[in-house]
Amino acid sequence: MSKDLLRLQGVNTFIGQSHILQGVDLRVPEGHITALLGRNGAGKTTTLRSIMGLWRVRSGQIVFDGARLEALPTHEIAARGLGYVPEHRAIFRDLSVYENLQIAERKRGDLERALPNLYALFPDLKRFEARAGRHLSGGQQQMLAIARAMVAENRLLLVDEPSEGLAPIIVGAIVDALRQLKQHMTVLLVEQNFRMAAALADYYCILDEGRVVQAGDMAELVADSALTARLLGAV
Amino acid sequence: MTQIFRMWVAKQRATVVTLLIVALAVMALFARFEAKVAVSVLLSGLTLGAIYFLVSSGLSLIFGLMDVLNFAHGLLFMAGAYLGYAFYASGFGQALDSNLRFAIAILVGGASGALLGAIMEWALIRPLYKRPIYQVLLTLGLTFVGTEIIKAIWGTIGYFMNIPAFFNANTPNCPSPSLFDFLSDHCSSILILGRPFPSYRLFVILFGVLAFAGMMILLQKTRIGIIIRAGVQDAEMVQALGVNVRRVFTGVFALGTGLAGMGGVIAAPIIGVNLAMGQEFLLQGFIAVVIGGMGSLVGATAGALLLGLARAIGDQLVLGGLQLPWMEQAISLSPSIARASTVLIMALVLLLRPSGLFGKKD
Repeated sequence: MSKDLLRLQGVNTFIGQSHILQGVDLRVPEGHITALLGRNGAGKTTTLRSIMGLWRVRSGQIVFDGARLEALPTHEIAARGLGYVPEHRAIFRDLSVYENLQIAERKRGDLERALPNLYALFPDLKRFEARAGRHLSGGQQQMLAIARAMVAENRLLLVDEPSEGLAPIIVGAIVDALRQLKQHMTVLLVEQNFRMAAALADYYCILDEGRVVQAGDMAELVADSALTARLLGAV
Repeated sequence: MTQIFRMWVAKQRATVVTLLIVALAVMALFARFEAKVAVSVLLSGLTLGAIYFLVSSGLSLIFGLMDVLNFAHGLLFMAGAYLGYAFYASGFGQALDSNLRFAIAILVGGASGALLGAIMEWALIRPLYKRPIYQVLLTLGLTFVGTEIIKAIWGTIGYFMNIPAFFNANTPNCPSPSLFDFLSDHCSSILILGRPFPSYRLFVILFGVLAFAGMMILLQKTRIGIIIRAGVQDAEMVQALGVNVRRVFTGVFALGTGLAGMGGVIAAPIIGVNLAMGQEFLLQGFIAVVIGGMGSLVGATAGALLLGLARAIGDQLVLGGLQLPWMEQAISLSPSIARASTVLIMALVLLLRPSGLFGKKD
């Protein structure tokens, strides 16, 4: 396994009085896709939001490229090179496609540099560059959310449920895009669709009731049908 | 062509409704009064609308981005007026030409509003972002405290702020026959369709238009404007893209309160500088924001414009009485009808469209 770009150690997060993450340990090796799997309510989204500082962790460590993140405000965490594609996309509905991308620029020239690649990856975005986000289809919104996270020079992309609510043909396009991303970026992918996660990820980590119950190579999980069946029952 | 027109109407429904209301008001005005009176009333409405805009635009921006109902906005309007006046009337100010003095007074009002707003946001409101009720109590409390401080410094009497010389000449050639002549004679009024209208009020309208254009350029054409518009929709996501949203919040708060402070100075030569001005314009500012739709700058502008027109038409009806076709004699109306007209419009808009004309937020 390559060196860990991101590491969570004993992370505990509360939402109100609810203890959601109960000592989560997680490793995300550099240059690979790691899938975070688990049932609804297992704590997958909370894990991503805790990494981004959108939920404050009560204890534990989040280490990104050797630096601690858990005490930093969200914008500083993002500025360290973390891109976030949230559940339900969270694109800015009243902004045009171009403005949605423009807002993600952290350094002058980021967008100019990234735009040719983004438009090659998602040609629809170029076609609808001036269209308001709310007039895009679900798939186009998802593409925009991923593209937006790629404008700045991020090293790690946190992607939450990219296939949610999308037609299979669109999911295929998203899979292709994420596969291409893998060549430049490390990805932590939260996904309910196990087939999609299996097609993309090199490593997996399964969360259940706020704890990591299993982690390892995705290939081993897929090859071991008994293990897959046992864990899929839990996924 | 018809279909394109229909699509445009469907897309711009709020704009169409606003234009229709304004057109109806204008038509009623021209049907009831002579053209020169109607134009004069319209211009008075636009003058009031411009001042309301300076208050409501800041209120709307602050609510849209931060979900803060800033009840201290009227205080900052008033504080801007008092501080601007203090400079205008001070010994230092007296040494300057009255036009330059007035221009600096506007800047003093704007800067003091912005500075006080930024301190208020940073020190007092920031810890209460997740407690809206506390924000309301805090900003209301600040209004009382601030008013008492102003009372302690300037007393309870009001002050009159002279109109600067550029708009205040009274030579035998006055009033100016046209806008073009005004540029050379600087008369205090200009003949419009044969009826004199105060030239300073035309400046107020121009200031409002320029402030609106400046805000639109800021919001639509600059990166900070894109961040503000995105923040109105989803501030959390803006943060997750690496933007320091708290700093943007402080900046927007300062921008909004700075506009209010400037508005106080701009309004002072018309309404005077007094302790009641803050509450009066805060109320009208809130009504404009509610009519236009919380969080929409265009909405706040439309609301301010409608309120200004309603108030001016109401005042004129109070003066001339209400004459309907089937009536032999005009009914005389109480002046409070003119004041109540703005609240009636708000009630009507809320009944028909609870989120306001341009509103998207609940």
